[in-house]
Amino acid sequence: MTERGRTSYGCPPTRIAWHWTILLAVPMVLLTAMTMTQGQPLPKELRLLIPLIVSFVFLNAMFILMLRSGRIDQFRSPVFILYALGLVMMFIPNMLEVRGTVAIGAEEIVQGKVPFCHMVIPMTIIPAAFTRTIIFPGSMLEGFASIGTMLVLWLVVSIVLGRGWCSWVCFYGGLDEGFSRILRTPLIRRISPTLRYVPFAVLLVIVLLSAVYLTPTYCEWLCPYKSVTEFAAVTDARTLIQTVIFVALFVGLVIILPILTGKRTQCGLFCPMGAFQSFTNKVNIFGIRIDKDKCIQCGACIKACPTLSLDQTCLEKGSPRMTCSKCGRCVDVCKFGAVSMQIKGTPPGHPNLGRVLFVYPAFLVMAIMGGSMIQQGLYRIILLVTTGSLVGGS
Amino acid sequence: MSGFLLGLSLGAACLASCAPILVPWYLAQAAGWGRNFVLLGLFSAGRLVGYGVFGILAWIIHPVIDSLRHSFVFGLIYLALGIMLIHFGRTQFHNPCVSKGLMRRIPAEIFARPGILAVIMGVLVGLNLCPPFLAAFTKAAETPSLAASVIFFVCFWAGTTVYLLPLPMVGLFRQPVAAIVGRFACWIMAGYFIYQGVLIWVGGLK
Repeated sequence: MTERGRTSYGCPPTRIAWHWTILLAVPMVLLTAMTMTQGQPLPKELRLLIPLIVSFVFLNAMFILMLRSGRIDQFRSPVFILYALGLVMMFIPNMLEVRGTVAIGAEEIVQGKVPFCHMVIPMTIIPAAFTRTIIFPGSMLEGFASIGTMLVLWLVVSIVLGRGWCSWVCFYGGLDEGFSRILRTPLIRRISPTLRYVPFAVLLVIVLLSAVYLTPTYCEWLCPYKSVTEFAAVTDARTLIQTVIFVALFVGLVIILPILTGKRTQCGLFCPMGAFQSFTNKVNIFGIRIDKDKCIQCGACIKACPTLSLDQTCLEKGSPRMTCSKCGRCVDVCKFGAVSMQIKGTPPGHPNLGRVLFVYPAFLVMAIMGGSMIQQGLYRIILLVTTGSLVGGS
Repeated sequence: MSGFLLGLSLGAACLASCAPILVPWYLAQAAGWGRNFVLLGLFSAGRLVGYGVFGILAWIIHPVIDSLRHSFVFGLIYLALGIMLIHFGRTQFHNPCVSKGLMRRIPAEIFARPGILAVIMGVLVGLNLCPPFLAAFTKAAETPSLAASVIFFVCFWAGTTVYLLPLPMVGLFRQPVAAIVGRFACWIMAGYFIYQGVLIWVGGLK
C-alpha cells in the first residue's frame, strides 16, 4: 500500500499508492459534494457557481494530496487558513445584512440572538450545572450558530479528535496560524516554557469569574477574535475599554507575536478553550507517537511545533504534551519517520493506518464547516469585485 | 440569629466572590488541604476584622453608604488586592525579593509568610461592597445599638464562612504544574482587581 520517496518538503513521506488514494478519496468527494450543495441542484448564477466549484475542487485536491503524499500539515494548513479567512469574509457581511451593523446591540442580547461560538463552552459548564441556565444570550436551536448545534458538534468532535479541534475545526485558529507562517525564520526563537501554562490560568479565571457573575467573561473582556467578528456596540466607557482590549489582544496575539515567533501564540499561550480542549486529548484514541528507536533527538519537531507541545522530555517519553493539537507538522518535518499519528495502545509499525483513520474524520469536519465558509468568503470577494460591495447579492 | 441566616442565604454569592481569589492562591501555594484550612482560618479572621469595621460603620454612617460605593477608598482596596496578588505571584516564581522598586516599601515578611498575607487579603475582601454585603449592611443599620450591629455582622460572617469551607480541598490537586497555573491566575485576577479599582476611581471622581 505504500511507496517511499523524497519531496521538496524535506522528509521521507510514507506515500499511499495512487489507486488506493483514489479509492479512499471517493467517499470524501461524495460527502463534500453533498454537504456543499446541500442536496440542491447546482446554482445557475455564476457568482454562486464559481465559489462552489472552486471550493469543492480545492478541498478535495488538498485531501487527495494529503493522502497520497503522507503529509498532514502541508495540506491541512492552507485549508485551515482559508477557512478562518472565509469566516471573517462571510461573518461580517452576513451581520451587516441581518442587522445592519457588526456591533451587537442591547436588543440582540435581550432577545438572545447572539451567535454562539465554542469559546463559550468552558464558561457555561459550572453555571449550567448549578443554575440550569446557559449564560449566553443566544438561541438554543434556532438561527445562525445556535447553542445546541455548537454543543453537539463540539461533543462529537472532541470524542473523535480531542484537541485536534484546535487545528482542524476551530474557525479562528487559521488566523494566527496564517500569520505564524509569514516569516520563514522567526525573529523570536526563545519562548519561556512556563508560558505554556497561561491558557490554563486564563481558563481557571474565566470559569471562576463566569460562575461569579453568570456572564461569559472571556467573550466580554478577553476574546481577540471579537475584533474580526462582532462586539458590543460602543456606547460607554466600559464598552470602549472592552473594544480596546479586543483589538489590542488581536493585534498582539494573533498578528504580531505569531509573525515574530512563528508560533500560534493565541492558541498555544492564551486560548482557554484550547486549554480546556487539552483535557479531551486524554480520552481521545488518536495521538502523536515518537519512535525512540528512530528519533535522533535533532529537535526539528520541537522547533516546528506551533503550540509548544513538544520538548526534550517528550522525545524521551515518546509522546507530546496534552496540549498537542494534532496539526501534523511534527510528522511532516521529521526526516527520519520517527513521528507518526497513531491509535493509542496499538503496536507501532503501521503509520498509514493511524494517519488515515485520523485524517479522514478530521478533514471531513473541516471540509463540512470550512467548505461552506471558504465558499461564502469567495462569494463575498466576487461580489465585491463585481458590485463594489460585500453586502447584497442573492 | 438573623445575621447568621442572612449569611447562610447569601453565602453562595460570597463563595463566588472569594473563590476567584482563594482558588488561584491555594494552587500557587501548592500546600496540602490541611495547611489550606489553616490559611482559610486566617483569611476568615481577616474577613471578620473587615466585617467588624463594617458593623461599626453600619451603625454610624449607614445613610451615606450607597454613595461610598464609588469612593476613592473602595477603589484603593481593589488596587491593593490587585497589587498584593501580583507581588505574591512574583515571589512565588522567584525567591521572595522585595528589595526593588515600589515593592521595597512593603515588608518582606508579608509575602514570605502566607499567614500574614491571608489575614491582609481577608481584611481587604471583608472591606468590599458586594451585593450580599450591602443587604447585610442595610439590615445592620436598623439595629438599635453599636454592639447589636457588630454582633449582626459577626453572625453574618459566620453564615457566609460556611460556604468557604470546601475551598481548601483544592490542596488535593497539589502539584508543581497546578502551582504555576495558580500563579498566572493570581496575576490575571490581579489585573481584574486593578481594573475594578480604576473603574471605581474613575466613576467616583467624576
